[in-house]
Amino acid sequence: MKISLDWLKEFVDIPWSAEEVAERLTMLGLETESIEKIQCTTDKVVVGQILKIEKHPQADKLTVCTVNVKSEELQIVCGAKNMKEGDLVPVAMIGAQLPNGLKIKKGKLRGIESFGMMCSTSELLISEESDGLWLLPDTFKVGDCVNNSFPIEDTLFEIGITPNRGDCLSHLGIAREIAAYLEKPLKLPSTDFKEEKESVDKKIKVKVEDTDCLRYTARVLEGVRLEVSPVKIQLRLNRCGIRPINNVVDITNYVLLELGQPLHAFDLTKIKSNQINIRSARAKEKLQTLDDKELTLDKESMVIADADKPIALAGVMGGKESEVNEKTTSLLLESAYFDPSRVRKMSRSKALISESSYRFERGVDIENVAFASKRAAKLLQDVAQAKILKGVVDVQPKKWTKKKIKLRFSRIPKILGCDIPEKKILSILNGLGIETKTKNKDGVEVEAPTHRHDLSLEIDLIEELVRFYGTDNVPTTHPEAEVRPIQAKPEQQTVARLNQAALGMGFNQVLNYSFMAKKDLIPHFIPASQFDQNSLALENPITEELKYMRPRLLPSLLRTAQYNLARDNKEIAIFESGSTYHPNSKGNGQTTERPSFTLLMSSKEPKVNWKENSLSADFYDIKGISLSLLNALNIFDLNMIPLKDSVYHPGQAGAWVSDKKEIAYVGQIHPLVLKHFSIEPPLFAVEIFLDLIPYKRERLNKLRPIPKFPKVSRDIALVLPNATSEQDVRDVFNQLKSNLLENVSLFDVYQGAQVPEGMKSLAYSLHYRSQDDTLTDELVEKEHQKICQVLKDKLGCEFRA
Amino acid sequence: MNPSIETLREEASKKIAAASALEELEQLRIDYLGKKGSVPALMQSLKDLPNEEKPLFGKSVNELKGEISSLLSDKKDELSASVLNEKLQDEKLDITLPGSRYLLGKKHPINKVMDEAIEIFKGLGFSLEEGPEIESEYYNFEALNIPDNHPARDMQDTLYLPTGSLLRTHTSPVQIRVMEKQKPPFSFIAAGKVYRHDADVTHSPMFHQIEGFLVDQKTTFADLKGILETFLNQLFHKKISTRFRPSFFPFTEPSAEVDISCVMCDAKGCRVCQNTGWLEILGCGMVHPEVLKSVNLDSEEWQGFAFGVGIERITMLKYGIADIRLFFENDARFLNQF
Ligand SMILES: [Zn+2]
Repeated sequence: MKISLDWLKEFVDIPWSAEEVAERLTMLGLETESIEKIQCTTDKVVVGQILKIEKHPQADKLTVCTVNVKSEELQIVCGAKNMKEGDLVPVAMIGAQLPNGLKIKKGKLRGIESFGMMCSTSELLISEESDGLWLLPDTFKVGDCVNNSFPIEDTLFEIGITPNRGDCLSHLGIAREIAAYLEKPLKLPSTDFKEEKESVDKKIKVKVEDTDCLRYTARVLEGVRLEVSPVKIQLRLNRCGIRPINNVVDITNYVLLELGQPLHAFDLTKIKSNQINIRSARAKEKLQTLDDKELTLDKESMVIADADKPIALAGVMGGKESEVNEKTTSLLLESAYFDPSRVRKMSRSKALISESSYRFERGVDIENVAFASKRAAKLLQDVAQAKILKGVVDVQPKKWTKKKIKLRFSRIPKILGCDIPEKKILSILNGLGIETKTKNKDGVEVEAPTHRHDLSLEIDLIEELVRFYGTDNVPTTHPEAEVRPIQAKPEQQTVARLNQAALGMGFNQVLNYSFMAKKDLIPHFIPASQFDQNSLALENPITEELKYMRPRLLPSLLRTAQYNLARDNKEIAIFESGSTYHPNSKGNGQTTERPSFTLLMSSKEPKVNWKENSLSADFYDIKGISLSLLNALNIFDLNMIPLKDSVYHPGQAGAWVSDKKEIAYVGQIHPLVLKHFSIEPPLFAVEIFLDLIPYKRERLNKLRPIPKFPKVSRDIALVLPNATSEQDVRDVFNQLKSNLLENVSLFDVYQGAQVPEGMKSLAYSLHYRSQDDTLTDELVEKEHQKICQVLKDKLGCEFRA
Repeated sequence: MNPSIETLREEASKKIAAASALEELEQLRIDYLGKKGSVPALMQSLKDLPNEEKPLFGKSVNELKGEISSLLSDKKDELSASVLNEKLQDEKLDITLPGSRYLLGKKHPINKVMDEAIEIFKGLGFSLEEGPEIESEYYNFEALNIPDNHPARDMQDTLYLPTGSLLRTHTSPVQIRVMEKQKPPFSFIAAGKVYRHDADVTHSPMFHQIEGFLVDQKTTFADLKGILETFLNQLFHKKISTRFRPSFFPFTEPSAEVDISCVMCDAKGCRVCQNTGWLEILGCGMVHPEVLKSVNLDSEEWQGFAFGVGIERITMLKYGIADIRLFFENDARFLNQF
């Protein structure tokens, strides 16, 4: 909230500069977010009287005025229209600097000389906007500095008040903290006024039926003259962010900013039977609010009602019908205490937030209720000539009991790690109005003041102590840690290994939002017909684009790819680790989160390196990458089966199976999916579903001896039908029971003129070795022939020379 | 001394020294040492000599043979070396042409800073815990002393899922989950994604947090100051001044926000620190008795601190990043800078 330094000084003598005030408040937990200094050469802004207004000979929109500022008569060219001869206006003379930064110099406007400027309220930063000159009331004397009547200069602090400190939502509240810090007395504003003989009881009856109204006071004022507020009130309201309306409303707001107590003024004549009932609304009762909304009330709503109907939503907003207007002469002034959470519920359910509800929600001071009423009455008498009826109706259904808190001195060093001298403890508590009830050598028992709703536990008092003692005075120490092993959890290690492997292979890590647009999920990732049961939507998304929790990482990565390709970042080599989110298939509102890893790769960007020619990536590249990734997780027993997933190319995708689970998808992205993302094929992906992968430590195999004898190689080329997969061949090799065959490697795949149509040739190198001896040619030849025969029998293949 | 031996020695050493190619040298070898060469010829003449001269003559010819062999061999090494040298000269490359690189990938800056922070805390004895991102009202709010209908709820604009679950607004629910499952003392951090209904240049609807939690029988606010100072000094690789500004979080008390001396301007005052010389960096405090109560721990016996650090904020400060949205656009030109 905005706090005026000038206003604060009415409550407490402050010996500090504006910067020091800001620093102090900040270190007391009242974070000063900005300091705005309103400065003005006040001796050069004086009250002037317009003697003569003449048309500007060259410009229709300008006038030439003669203005008396007592010391001289000035000719001033002016663009405003709202003034007449005889009016009093603020005049900024040559050499003046205005709060908005404007410097006044002698000027010439369309050929006519001008010696100063007549000011509007906005130029003096009294209001944000203005139309025309500020016409001063006749209490101002020609030639006086305008600043004599009210201070133009001030410093405004924007202070962020945390939700626990409702008591600081006023100048009184802030001043109370400063006074406590300075150990100086707090000066309360005057409430002196003259009362009429007639008693208020005759004019108004108050009945509190709803117990969430803990105190209700009503005062009656008559003969009120509704008009514009005095400048000082307007200025302060404006600078603190409240628009002035009329003196009655302005004074209720002024007291709100001053003392933190929301007040409401009703037009007394609109209150049926002069009866006020504070009660729960009846079903379907309606209320037209001040801001022209029609509310339909319910029993959760607590209302201020007259004999017939609601006239205000308690603590939130007044009703239109009983609003003060230019015909109003008698007022009912309400000052009350409503239960914080009840007000919050009403304010939220009706989507109405007001200066009042904001303060009631955070808790106002129940003891301050009557004082604020008196203060407002005094101001209304001063400003609007109000006649105040004797006494006040003050209904308090239940006595407020102050909270008692025990503070053990021993707890202070136990929590803070340092002692605070007892004398200091007592003076801090006393300064904050926390009254010590009993005291012994071990501690004190205190009573929390009624404005401090945040004080109920011992720790709350310790917080107050450290706030005022200063966190800087608490030493910096190091906890005595116990030595114990810190080991990363298996899941954490899995993700770290995958990330490291992907980084090592040159892929960049990306981070996408966990939410995405429906259009990127339908139809490829979730079929339209199953969208509702298979998607997880936010109730209150930031935008439609960020509404659905992502069921897979892949669509986010495709968006990332598209974003980069659109910016001429041609090579896509990215990966992401993160959760995917799924509704429970039982439709019971439960959700699951699955840890996942996805990698996306395009062909290499051409023209990147003078030496590299082979740039196009293919399925086997991504297959190899996926294998390395899984190997990095110590997973070696892997088997690839064809993958049926509409996101992938039907002929170029596979699933890695390990331990009977499909733990990863690998393949080329389906061109139609890419088309949706405006990406040219091909693009390749690996998706690893980490929740299906058991954490595996490094394999602890015993070392195999390094062979002592040389190997012998024999190459063969098998001619097979295209439909035979390489896996079929490898299966045959794997099933061979040969002591000599050490290793088989595929070194060529050929289709073309050398083999018949519909056939392919797979060339393998077979390595033979014995652990006991150097192999002889005959022995190798014998074994090799045996193997060729098995291949021929099982695969029906021919051999190619 | 036999004059013919002497002549041959002189002639051979001259010719070998003059040889300029390996072929020429080979011819000289044949001429002198070959089967029909001059040295074997001299040896042949031994038989015509008187017996008493034979031993001396034979010894001299053998010596000559040895000398010529050695001259030939030295000269051969010399000529081979120069041949190789020529070949290597021919193979000269422009070593300034770019090499074929096997580029390492770049860790996302958020993960980079997060991993760094995790490492620092591991070194300080904190283990790493995790919790779900989709949370219940209970773990995200109630157990953390943020009752329903309390203005403290306004501090965190929440994204809701159907049936009342929500996206966690902070990593603090992990505190409760760990305390429910394990026995004190506790010292752990929790790191991960958190969510708020908020989006502008400095706020992202998704961001990352690290939560620190230490509860035992003696840890104090002074210890909290110590741990955080150590952490910040290590994270920014320099001595950082801090101030602990009293603040409010429902789940800690006393609570503080920690400001560090501005790393952009060395606390001289700049746009980033709004000329204050201070930057707000994290929130912390002593674990609130109500939080301990929610997991049935007695606050008379157990006490300690909790803190929460926004990773985006720190990363933005470390690298001078002004717009938080850059993190989630994943532009290669951005990622490649880390
Ligand atoms: Zn700075």
